[in-house]
Amino acid sequence: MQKKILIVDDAAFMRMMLKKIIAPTGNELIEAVDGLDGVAKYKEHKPALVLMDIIMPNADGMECLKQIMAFDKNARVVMCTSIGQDAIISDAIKIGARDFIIKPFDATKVLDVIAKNLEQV
Amino acid sequence: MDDMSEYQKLYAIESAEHLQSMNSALLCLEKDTHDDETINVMFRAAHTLKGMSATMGYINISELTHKMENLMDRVRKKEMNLDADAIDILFECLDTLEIMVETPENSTQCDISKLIANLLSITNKGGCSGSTQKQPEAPQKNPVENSTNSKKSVTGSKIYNIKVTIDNSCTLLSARSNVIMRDLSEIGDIVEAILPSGEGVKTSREIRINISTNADAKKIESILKNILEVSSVEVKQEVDHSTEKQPDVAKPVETQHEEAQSTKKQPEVAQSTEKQQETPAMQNDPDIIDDAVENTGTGNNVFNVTVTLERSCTLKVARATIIMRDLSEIGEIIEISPPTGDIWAGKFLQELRIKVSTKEDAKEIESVLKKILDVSAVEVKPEVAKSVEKPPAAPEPQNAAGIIDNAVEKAGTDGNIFNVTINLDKSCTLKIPRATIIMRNLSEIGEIIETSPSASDIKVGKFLQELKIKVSTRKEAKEIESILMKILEVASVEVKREVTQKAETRPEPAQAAGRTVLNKEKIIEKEKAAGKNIQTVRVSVERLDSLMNLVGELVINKIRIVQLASDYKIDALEEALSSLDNLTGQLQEGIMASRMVPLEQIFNRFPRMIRDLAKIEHKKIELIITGSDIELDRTILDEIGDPLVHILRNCVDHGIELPEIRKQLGKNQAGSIKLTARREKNYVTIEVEDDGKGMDPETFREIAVKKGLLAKEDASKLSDVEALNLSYLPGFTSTEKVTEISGRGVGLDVVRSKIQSMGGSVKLESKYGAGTKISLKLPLTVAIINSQMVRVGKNVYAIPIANVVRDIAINKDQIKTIQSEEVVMVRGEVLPLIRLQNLFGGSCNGSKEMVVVVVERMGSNVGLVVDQLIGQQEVIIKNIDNRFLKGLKGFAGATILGDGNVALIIDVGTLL
Repeated sequence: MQKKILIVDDAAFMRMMLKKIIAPTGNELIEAVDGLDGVAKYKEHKPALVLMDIIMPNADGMECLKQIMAFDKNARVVMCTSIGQDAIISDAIKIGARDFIIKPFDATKVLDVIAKNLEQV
Repeated sequence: MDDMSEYQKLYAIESAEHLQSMNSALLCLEKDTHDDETINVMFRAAHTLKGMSATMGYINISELTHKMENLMDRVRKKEMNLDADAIDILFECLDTLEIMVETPENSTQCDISKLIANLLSITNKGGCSGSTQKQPEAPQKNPVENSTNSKKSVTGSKIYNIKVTIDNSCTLLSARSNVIMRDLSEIGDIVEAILPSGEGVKTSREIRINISTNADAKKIESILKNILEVSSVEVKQEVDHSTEKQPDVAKPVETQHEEAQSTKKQPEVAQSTEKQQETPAMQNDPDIIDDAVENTGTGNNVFNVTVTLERSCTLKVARATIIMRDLSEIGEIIEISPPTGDIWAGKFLQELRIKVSTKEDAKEIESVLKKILDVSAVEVKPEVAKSVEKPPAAPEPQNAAGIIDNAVEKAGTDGNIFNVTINLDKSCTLKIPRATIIMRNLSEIGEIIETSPSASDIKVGKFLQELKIKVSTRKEAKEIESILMKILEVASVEVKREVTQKAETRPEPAQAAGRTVLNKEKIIEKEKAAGKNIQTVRVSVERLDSLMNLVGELVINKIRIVQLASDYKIDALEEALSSLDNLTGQLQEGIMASRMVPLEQIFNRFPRMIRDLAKIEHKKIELIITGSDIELDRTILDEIGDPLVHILRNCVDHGIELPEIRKQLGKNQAGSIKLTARREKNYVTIEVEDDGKGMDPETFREIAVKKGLLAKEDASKLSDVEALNLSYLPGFTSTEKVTEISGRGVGLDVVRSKIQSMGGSVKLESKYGAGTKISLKLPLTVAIINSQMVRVGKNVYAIPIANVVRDIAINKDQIKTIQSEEVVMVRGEVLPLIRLQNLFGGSCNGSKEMVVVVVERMGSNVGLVVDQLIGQQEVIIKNIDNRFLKGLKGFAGATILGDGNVALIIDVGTLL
């Protein structure tokens, strides 16, 4: 079944990359360009899954995650991160992030993480 | 990822934007090194660019941005200041990045080792004092000392000490080291790595690595020898004291203090500076894990679970956190091996052993765990019948003396229970004693029931800024708050009364962290973050051009139909046409608007350019830009970049005086250059005004005479404006480099012809001693210009309105001849006349009345005598690319009229 996936990343390049990977799954993709936009789009579309960059202007990924979790405690958010951000990721998980993937993206892992997290919805 | 080429375009556009924002951020930082938001902008841009470049596989770019990000991260965390050196190096980095980003596929040929070395040395230099003071208790390590320290392996594989020497010819030491680390991590786990640091680039070409692997020494050696630029390899098996396991949960947490943190997870983060940043941050992690362990079993079945992570897993700590979380969702974790402290310090290899009590069966546990990414194997065994009786969780097993433990051990008696969240100031350097004070003060007014992180963690400094304390007291929330706020270095306090009255010692659910108050800085950051960035419309220019062209054709056809309709006087048709007219107008406007780009795009690079030029010339210059949001057609924008650079360079080179001279003259030591853009109807005016020395018309006259351009008496007759206009003459001053005004006019003729070829005009004003102003008047678009249509002989010509001053009618009698040139006196001014009939061929009509279009040319007016004024009309410019007509002076192009005839567009600048 088609589900909504929200991509929150300030870099259009990264969004495009993710879209390209995810598009074949047939899920509906929504994009947000920063943390604030991410929260707004979440409220608007109630996506089944969120892929969230961490370092962004206008409310970073952590702030956005907090707001999304406050809005919907069952939100499924997967953090997108670079190497060396263990601490932030662990914090994110504490706040309620379901999972994380690491840049540069490995297509199989991205699809894997999406499949696994959507399965549980 | 399959085809990268389609991403390259987007990459190019976005990376250019990030470089631009870094450039302007850096310029701001040069003025104010403490602007937090600008520092953040810089940090984010570097980070994003790093991620993008890594995705594209541009190692050098991601490497360099990574180091820049690290530097900015330290600045961001107030661990160091940006000094002039650091800013200079960052600027150099940006320059190199610009080159690399332009042709990223060649970026690997760019030598970034020097920049990286410089960045590292700055990062280290700035950092040492700051960070050691800040976290003296943090488990820092000196890589060199630790090189001999062995690490324990859980998997039973052997540990080898490896020494790799890199060839002297290797220029990209860090990149090469990364390759080595990567290849090694493919066969085993890197327990320890010491990479050559920035300072050591010249001296140390040695990498020391401790690796835990199943492969034998020979295999390791052969792998390493296959790597380019590796000159020697030494592999020694470590004397074995390794394979012992650590099954005991209650292993004192302190041990991991002495032991270094493993670097195996992040080969590229192996430099000591970076570790210093990572380490304290990790100290926040244990909550979930600790909490999970503290949950005691409530009956059910007990399983021994062994989870093996994939070797490729890079963020093991976080992954382990997920495993623990998912397990604690279906049951309760009783025991973990290695101990939690080790896990979150990253001190484990692939394996985790967890004892869990749950209602679910083995299969379910397995399926939960297998769903987690990076988990390669799961083994679930039921624990041989043993009832699960565990001591309650609260006090940590390891008891040590001290206020903290005592405080925690006292159970709550009476009064209310409050959850207190305390944030320490970021600048707090001695967190342990500070925390002790907080605990003591709280225990003076009540009893501490629980803390998070746990008391033992606090004692060893394993926490960031935040402390959560559950306290039972008779005091009011307000009172608690005021007591805590009185303590130095406490940034914020949140006191919440617990609703459940039971003084239970169960830890709060993990989500609690989400409730934490936003600290002050975060809010400020959020408010400040509203900085705008340019969003690019990503449509190819060719597509826009062809659309524009089509609209042009449409407009021509429309005009034709309108003419036909008026010829045949069909009312209904004319009515229908008026709405067509309206629509095509809107369409045209829309397409034109989509081609519009804010001037920002070219203005953006000027601050940096002026800064660099001023630095070279030892001048102080302030560039004030206004109106950068004004939009112009892309084609024009592309064209005016160079002319503007030229004009600005002149301002710096020749306009603004040296600070000493300015001081003597009583001027502000810092000169100012104002770059102003204004929209005026269908035109945009761009002015460049400096408050420098200006130009002296007298000097111009002298030079003109000296160069034999004018006779002395002619020169003296020139008005000041005319004298200044001499600078438009090609080569007017180029050979007079020694004179005061040298270079002032160089290339001004080029600037002018370029601007005029787009249907614009240039105006030069200067006041000797006070400054110079150059104004460019540009049409909004090149494709369509508003023109005065005139008839000369049988042909119709178009004169761009930009050049037209006014139309006048004169009487033949008024024409006078001065030096064999026809002139006419208009409003007390001498107006030279040019008869287009003579130029273009055709006979003068005999009537006494003559129509003259007054146009502006080189700052003065000229009258063009025409046969008839036809009216104003928008014409679509078709370039004369024809090789026969190229080089034909006097025409800017041609256009097709409504009746299908071709009209030439007159270029006033080159006419005559």
